[in-house]
Amino acid sequence: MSETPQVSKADPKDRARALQSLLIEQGLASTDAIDEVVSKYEQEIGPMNGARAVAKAWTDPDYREWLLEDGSAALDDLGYTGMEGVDMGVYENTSDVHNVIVCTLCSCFPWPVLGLPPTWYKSPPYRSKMVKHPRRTLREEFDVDVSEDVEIRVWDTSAEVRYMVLPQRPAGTEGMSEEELADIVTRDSMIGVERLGDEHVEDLR
Amino acid sequence: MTDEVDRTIEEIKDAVGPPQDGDRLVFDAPWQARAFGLVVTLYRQGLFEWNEFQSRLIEQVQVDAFEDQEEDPESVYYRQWIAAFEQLLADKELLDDVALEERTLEFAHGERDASEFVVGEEGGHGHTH
Repeated sequence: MSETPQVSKADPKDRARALQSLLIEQGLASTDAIDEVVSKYEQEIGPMNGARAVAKAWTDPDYREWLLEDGSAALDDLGYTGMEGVDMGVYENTSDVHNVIVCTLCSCFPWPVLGLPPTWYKSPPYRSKMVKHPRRTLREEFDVDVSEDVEIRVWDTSAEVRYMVLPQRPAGTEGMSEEELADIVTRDSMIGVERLGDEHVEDLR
Repeated sequence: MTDEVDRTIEEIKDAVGPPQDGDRLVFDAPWQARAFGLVVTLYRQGLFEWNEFQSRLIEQVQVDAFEDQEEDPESVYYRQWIAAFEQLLADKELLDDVALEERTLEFAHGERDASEFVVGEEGGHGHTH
């Protein structure tokens, strides 16, 4: 796979159109199918999927246990299946451990639960810095100050496994319903670059 | 290290701006959506394993790592995505290199345009399933 085809120099817009045009002609794709995928990922599949799983784990101890033990099955149970053959690992943030996900090699992302990856996640700085200096990167780039006595675990996506972080449930949310809880869970908190309730850090300590 | 790596993540976030709709993201450009949609569509038909695509994407990302990085990161990502997909189709003999090059030039020169993808359009080449 060393030689680069000539077309790689062309405008990516034309290359994408040429691919679609030829694949449709060969009966391997249809515009409807492609549009359906795109609108699904723009409209339906997004961090709200992951957020629902998180809220369920916060309110249902059995589900939480299942999610942490067999993320693929527990997420599949909510209908969030994606790229088959790829397992989902879910790691829980606690008062001793802070987890963060990255894909150093190619920016692969847990699409079915978090939707499309944000631009910075795909950028070379994030991919290299988070692995080398996670504590500093979290502090300097994301305003997340993880104290020295909390271990930071960086999960680098592989071909076989995608990861998602189960954030800590913020204080003061005791009476909230599962639905209300899902609303406060953000994409960044499930990547591990945000701690929910950080704006009230003092309350949490 | 490249300049790109020295850029801060903050700078990239600022350049991109906040998502238009809360925590929801959409594609920046139709060609990026098209690139993503094509790969997922063919994958769903079982024409390849996800890791076959992923391994080629990794190669593209490595090859590209030291190139001029003035290009916006979204565009870089989906350009690499397309290159990986082309390589995969070539390796699987699902697509002819020459035909792809010709077709790309036809779009580049305006002999064809995206109207052929509009459902119901005259002269469309699409098979509807």
